[in-house]
Amino acid sequence: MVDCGASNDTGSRFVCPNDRQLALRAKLKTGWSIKTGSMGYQSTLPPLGADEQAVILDVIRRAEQLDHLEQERVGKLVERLENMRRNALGRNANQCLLCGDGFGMLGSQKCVCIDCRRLVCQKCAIDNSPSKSRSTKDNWLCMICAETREIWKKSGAWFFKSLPKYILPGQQSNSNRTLRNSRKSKKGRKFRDDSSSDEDRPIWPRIERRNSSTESTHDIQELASNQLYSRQTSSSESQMSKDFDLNKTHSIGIATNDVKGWEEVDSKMETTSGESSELSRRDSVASRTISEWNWTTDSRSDEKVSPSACSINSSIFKVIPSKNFFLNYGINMIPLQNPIEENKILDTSMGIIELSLSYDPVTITLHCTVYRAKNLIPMDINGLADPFCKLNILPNAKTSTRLRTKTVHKTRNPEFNENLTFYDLTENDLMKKSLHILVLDDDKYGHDYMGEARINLAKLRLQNTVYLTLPLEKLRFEQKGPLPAPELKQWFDDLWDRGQILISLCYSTKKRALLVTVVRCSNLLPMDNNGFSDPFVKLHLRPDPYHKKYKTSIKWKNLNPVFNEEFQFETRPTELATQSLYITVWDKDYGKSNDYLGGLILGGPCSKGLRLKHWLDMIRYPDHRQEAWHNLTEDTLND
Amino acid sequence: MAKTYDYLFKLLLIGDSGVGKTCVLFRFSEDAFNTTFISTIGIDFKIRTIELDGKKIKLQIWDTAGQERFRTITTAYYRGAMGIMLVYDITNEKSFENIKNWIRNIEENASADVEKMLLGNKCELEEKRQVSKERGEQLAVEYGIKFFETSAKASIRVEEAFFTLAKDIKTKMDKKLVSFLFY
Repeated sequence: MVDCGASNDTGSRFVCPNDRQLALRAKLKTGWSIKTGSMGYQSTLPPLGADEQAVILDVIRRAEQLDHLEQERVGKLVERLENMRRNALGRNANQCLLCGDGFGMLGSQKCVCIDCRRLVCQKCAIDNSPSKSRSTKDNWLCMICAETREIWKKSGAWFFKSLPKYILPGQQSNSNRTLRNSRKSKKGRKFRDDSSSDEDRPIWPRIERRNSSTESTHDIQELASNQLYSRQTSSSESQMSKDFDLNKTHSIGIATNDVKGWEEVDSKMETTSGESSELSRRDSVASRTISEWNWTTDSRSDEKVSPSACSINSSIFKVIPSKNFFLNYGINMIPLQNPIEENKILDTSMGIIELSLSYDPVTITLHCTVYRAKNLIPMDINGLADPFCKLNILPNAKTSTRLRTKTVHKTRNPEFNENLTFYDLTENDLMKKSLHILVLDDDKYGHDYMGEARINLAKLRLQNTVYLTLPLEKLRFEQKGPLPAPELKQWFDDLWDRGQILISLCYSTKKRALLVTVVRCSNLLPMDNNGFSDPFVKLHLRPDPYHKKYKTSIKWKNLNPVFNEEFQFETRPTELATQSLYITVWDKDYGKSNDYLGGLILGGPCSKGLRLKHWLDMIRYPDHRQEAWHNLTEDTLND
Repeated sequence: MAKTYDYLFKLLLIGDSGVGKTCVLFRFSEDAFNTTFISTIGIDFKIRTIELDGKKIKLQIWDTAGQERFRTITTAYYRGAMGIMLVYDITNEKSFENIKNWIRNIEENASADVEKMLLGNKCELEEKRQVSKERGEQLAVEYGIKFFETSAKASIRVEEAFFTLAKDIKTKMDKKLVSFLFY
């Protein structure tokens, strides 16, 4: 039956070997043809006898059995983790992620999980400090992350850097059937298909799915468990458009339900969990987590769309791990991503974004469709934001490669559904460049940063439409004056081209006054002919019964001036909430009016994002200096 | 097979033909010894579950044929091994010299962070010794790996060697996990 590569194929020397043979040869590195196999030093060694082959095959069979048991074991572990994830109740920052108990004076003490950075109560976390003597507060692991770590160890993933194949408990009989099916059909066509190798096995589920669209459950399962295949969906046009339609339905399902409160969602979750439990098991672990952490849209849309359709749908969106992950594990890991592994890196605390990409090599254009973002961080005082996306091909940002979506107002779950096209992108460019997506809060006084995502274009096979769900990353913990990533600098400079200012705020209870320190500015605009400006800063609190206005000294010929000047505004803490601080930076000119360099407003009704946070922190923590960088905007603040 | 375990470690034994790899494994897995020499055909494996720090660790130990003609098959199993034991025969100078080649083989075929260990087998045959214990130790130091002189026949330090290797892998695992999560 099976020969081990270097053996003698009697009679069939010129018939192309079957895929099993080729696979074995690949393993044995004997080359692809019978000739190259025997050309090496192999030829001097006697070939394996039939009895020897039988012995080896027996060992391999035994090993396969063991592997199968192991796969089942890992499957059980994965299922356990899945159940834990599914049963997580926490929906917001005031609740424990797992049990949903509220925090606070009477509630349980909150701990931050060191892996996922979520808040959990002490009951649902384990102390991870190496020595049992003293538990520092920042060494807690939530049960989910602890379990993930355990799986990482137990499955051997720690060594092989990816989760091995596994069989989920409920899946067992089905997957066996699929395997048998594919074997059978393979045998049928092995003489027709020359190039068949072991690698074509993964394609099977996809083909099967197309034949039996919604009825058979096992291929959907297969599909979901092997996300890779769903990533390259669009081999046939009709399939593509079908996916797209499903997609639409999906989004409608969300939109109509979006307004409902959390409680209702929760209860719905519970009622649907029974019927959808099997479904969700089939769903890939990764997309499941994404969709389930905070939104539960999946389970809701389960009701709207037919179940099988939905599970296809949600597995369409391939989840890509963070950029760090790419760097660490190189190209070959990407297509074979296992869901768990992605989870490990997946931090959805900044929200996620869904988009699709396709590249047309004929017109050398890259089409990008931004569908939506979910669960973005709130920016204004109502807990909402006005998000839009900026897309850019980096490095070497040209203005032509910069595109933006429309702004969707007053939402944290914006539906963009917008097609953006990048022109003049050669395939060569794709190999070198990445698509950078920046989510910003649209605001009259400058755009605030809400997270970003980066897609390495070389690592996506863009011949087909690729659907992506990406967690947004927060690469800038606070906006520092000179922005960190050098290739982004230019881009950011355009966004906040007026420069930045470092301001320190402190309410002094002793002096009963707000102390404002203008520390320094950076990246100011050059206004004078000598390429510099002569900046100074004006401060003005409004409304202020004392009508105090302050000016700093003038720093001559300096675009990054250091002031370190403190000013006092007498006011009461209760009034601070309604007051705002107007900060303007000017270029001193003699003989003509001063040039406006930029400004911003801290506090009050127009303040958002970091500026609002800074102001509120100042009120919340009196006698503490709160220092933060802010971007200057060009909008003239009327004095 | 209702036996449960916490971790599965895959180990591999390599070394020249006749140095006693199969015997070492046989001693460890079955606590028995067979004097007749039966050359291993290609590959084989044995299972033993041990307990370390309260964790049950299932060891799947691959035994490879030392003969050149099986080389292509055996090297295919390097990649999956978390720990590799390099075995030589203290009564056979050639098998000791070949350890270098085996190490090179590992470097070419195995995963980069595989845990290695050097075993000088047949240490009960003191009168026929050709490789001194010091030379074994020195080689091990050179490669920065651990070294044991074992005897499968007299059951000397076989257990200890396997337990040490398993423990080293476990330590590496615990350490690695932490570094992995905080890259």
